[in-house]
Amino acid sequence: MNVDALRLRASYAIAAVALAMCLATGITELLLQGSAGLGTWLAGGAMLALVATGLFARTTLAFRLTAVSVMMAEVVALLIAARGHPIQIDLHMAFFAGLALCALLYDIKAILLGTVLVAVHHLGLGLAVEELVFYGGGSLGRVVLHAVLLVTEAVGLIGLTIITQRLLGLAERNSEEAAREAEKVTQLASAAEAQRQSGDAAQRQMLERLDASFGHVVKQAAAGDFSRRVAADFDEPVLNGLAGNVNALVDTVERGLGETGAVLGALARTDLTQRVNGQYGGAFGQLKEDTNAVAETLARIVGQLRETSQQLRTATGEILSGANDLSERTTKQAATIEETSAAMEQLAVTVMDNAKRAEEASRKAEKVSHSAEAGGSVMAEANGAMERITTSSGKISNIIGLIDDIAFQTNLLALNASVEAARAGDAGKGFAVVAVEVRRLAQSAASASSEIKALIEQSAHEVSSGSRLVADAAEKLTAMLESVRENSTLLDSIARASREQASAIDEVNTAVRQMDEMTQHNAALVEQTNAAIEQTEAQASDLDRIVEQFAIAETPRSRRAA
Amino acid sequence: MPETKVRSRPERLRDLAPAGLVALMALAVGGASAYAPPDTGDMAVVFPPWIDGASAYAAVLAAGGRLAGNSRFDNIPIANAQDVGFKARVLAGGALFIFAANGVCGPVAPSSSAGETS
Repeated sequence: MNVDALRLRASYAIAAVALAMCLATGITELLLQGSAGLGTWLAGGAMLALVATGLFARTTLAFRLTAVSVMMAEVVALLIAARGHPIQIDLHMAFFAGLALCALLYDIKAILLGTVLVAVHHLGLGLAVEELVFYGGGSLGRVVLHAVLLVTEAVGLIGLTIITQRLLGLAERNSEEAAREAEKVTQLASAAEAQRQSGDAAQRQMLERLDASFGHVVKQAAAGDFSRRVAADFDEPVLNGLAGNVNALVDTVERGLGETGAVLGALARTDLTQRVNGQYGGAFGQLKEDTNAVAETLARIVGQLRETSQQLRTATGEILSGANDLSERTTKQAATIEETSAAMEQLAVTVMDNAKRAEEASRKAEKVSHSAEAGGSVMAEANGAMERITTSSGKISNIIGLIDDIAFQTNLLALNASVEAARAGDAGKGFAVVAVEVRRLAQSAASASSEIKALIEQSAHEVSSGSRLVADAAEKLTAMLESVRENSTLLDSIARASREQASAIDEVNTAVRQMDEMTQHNAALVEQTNAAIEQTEAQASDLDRIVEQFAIAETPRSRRAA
Repeated sequence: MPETKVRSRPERLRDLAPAGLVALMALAVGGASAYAPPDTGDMAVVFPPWIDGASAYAAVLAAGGRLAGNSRFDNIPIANAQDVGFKARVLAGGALFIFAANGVCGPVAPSSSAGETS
């Protein structure tokens, strides 16, 4: 990379910075002033001028100077965009940053131009808006101070550019010396290449002859034809020996591959009895051992496979027989469970009937209990009636005693009347008759009252016996009522137990139905298993037929198996 | 090494021309921005040099403005416009330009002698 390329890159960099400042100007003016104005137009116009210059003369001094001028114009545009805002004063430092960027161009003219533009700006702006450049008021001393600062920066940048240009000159001289050394090396390499090419011609002739003799045999061998041999008629004994060795190699390869091919062909025809029998060493010996090992391993595997297949078929037959038995038993079990389920359902119905009957008996016993209680009440009333009869009998007996006393007094009066009548004579005869009649009536009344009294006494005695009997009957009825109640309680217990029994039978019935479903599912599984075992047996037979296709040497085990 | 060829004067001018144009454009726009007058408020009204201060003040007052101060020059009074039509009226009344009241066209404080005189 030379200075022009560096300057071009620096010009692009400054142009990029100018573009960024152009965008910043537009955004700043929009934000601070509310719309695009002079600042934006100046920034855009300056960028267009830079682009136009770059299109026609981007590698020239004019483009570099234009880039510097545009960058300074972008600073002016940014200041215009920030007018009236405090940041406008701070943005003046961008002039010095832009001047520093001019050093990237390695061009003193560009630095001088930048310095002049900054100075013009200071003077112009100092006249126009003094407070922006000389805060607090301008004076000659402050102008001189600004000028000294500006010139100091410019001198520093120019000094840096001069030093850089000297360093670039030193680097360029070193590069030219290195290029001369590289040229010398290139010449030496060309001489060596020419010498190498002359030696290659003789070697090429020898190689062509070797290729005609050895190459043909090797190519044929590579193509699978091992019948060709190398003619040992070279001038060099070493080459004749080499030819003999090549021929021996081809012989060995032919025999080895032939025997190996024969064994592999037999394997392909399912004949596992063939082996490689020749004597070989090295890789061919290893090939022989590996080929024979393959055949032996295949023969052993096929023998084991044949034996295993036969055992598998036998085992499959036994499994099939067992599965058939299992299927029959499962079918019988399913039928038995079905019958059990029906019986359990019948039993549940019967138990439910028993429960209903026990409830009915309990209700009837309750009615009997009520009837017995009513009978007890009637007995109590009868007992009261008996006691009232006894009381009435006592009263009657007293009345009868009174009648009997009256009859006795009447009899005495009738007797006295008879005596008086008798004393009266004939005048008293009629009276005597009446007295006799009264006496006889009194005696009859006394006799009747005695009989009534006896009857009443007997009636009282009978009433007493009846009352005792009624009391006994009431006790019996009470005992009967207790028995009826106990009987009703027992019937209730029987009804409840019957319902619980019916519920338990329902659960048993559900379990039996589930067993029935599982048994039917088991039966289906047994059927599927049967089908699978039959398929397996058929596949085992197929495997037997496949294995039988291989011919292997007879072994004691295989003979036993046969 | 950087180019060492000595360029002729026309070549140097040609190299400098685009940069100079851009610099002039920046100075012009910058100046226009710095001296662009506001629509209303303080502004410097530039009258021809042969117009004396009294005539200039009279023209400002006649255009509906008020006097806000003096500048460094008698023919450039600092006027205060209350409406946007002032600029058109004062230009019709004989003013040449109207600038913002900044820098050389900015107001100056009355001198002590002037104060003593008045």
